[in-house]
Amino acid sequence: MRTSRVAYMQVLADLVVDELVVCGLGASARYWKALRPRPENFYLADSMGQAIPVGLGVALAQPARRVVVLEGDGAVLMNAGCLSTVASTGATNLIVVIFNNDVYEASGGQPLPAAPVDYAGLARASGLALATNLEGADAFRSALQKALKEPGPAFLCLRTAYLPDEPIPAYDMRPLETRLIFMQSLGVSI
Amino acid sequence: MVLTERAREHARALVRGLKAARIEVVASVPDQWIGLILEEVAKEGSFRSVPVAREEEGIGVCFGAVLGGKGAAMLMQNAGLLSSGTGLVTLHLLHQVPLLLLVSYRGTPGDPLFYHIPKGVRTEPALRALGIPYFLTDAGKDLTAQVCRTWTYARESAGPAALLLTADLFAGEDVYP
Repeated sequence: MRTSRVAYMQVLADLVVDELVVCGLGASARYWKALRPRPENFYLADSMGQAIPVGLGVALAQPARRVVVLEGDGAVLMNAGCLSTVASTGATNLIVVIFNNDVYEASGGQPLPAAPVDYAGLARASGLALATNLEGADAFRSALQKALKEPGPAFLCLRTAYLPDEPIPAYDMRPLETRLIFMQSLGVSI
Repeated sequence: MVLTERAREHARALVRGLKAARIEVVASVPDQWIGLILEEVAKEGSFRSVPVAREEEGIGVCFGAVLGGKGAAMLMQNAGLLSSGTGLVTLHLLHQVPLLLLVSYRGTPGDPLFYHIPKGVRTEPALRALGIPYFLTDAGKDLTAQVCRTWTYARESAGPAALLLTADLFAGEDVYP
């Protein structure tokens, strides 16, 4: 049986301290906001496929901070070219975490294209050497501990259960508010 | 197309504008005109240049860079602008984040290649529909200032602003009489 997203999120909550976290829209943002609300989180609301590019931009602008991106597998398929961009920049402070549940969870669990995608293999083929498929909270804990200590970019893909009876927490923050709080946490302005 | 020394000087002036506007991150997908600007970006040496696989992805990288406190510009052809609507709306417009767009304006009367024309016809209507302010370059005036003014406009309007790079900057008069 696959591991739940909440179990993986709990590992993140245990290990993330002062890292910046960029959350893809839907379940990634809403679970993380409910579990660990903090100013250093940025929640995408309506930009599918953009968490990795946005996280990369933050990582390039804030090289002294480590950036963790939380994204879904459907979003990776939508914007897979960005993996080669991440590789080309060599952003050592970027960790990409993918929840691989084979469905578009936030829209009701519709299936992704029915192909057996090897996400870590896709990332490695795009130039990300530190890419791994993982199963289970313990495996994720070990991999994330390592990624938080060593130079990246790292790509961790988590085999994740889709639990349709588990309600996804609601959005409760407006986009402008999210942006202002995040930038304030960095001490930067436009 | 022959890119003349005059075209290269225009590219240099645009890059001086990026520098003067304190742009630090430059994401890009090239066409021939943008490629000339990117050569000057590389020569200048102080920008974080990020070649991206697709234009809308570059919109995301620029958005993140501004979140992180750095000025950012996206350099692309109008083909990329036309394919980037969702990113511009759901990132910069939704979150009120400025973005400098330098867009090669292909398919205008000065650039009469048949396959560019459908993009040229629709570029300004698309920008108006998206509610993104835009300006056309004037090769007879200070291009450096035009870049700075467009970035200032983006910052003050808290959203994207586009400088459409017109054919007269890059197309030699001997090529397109």
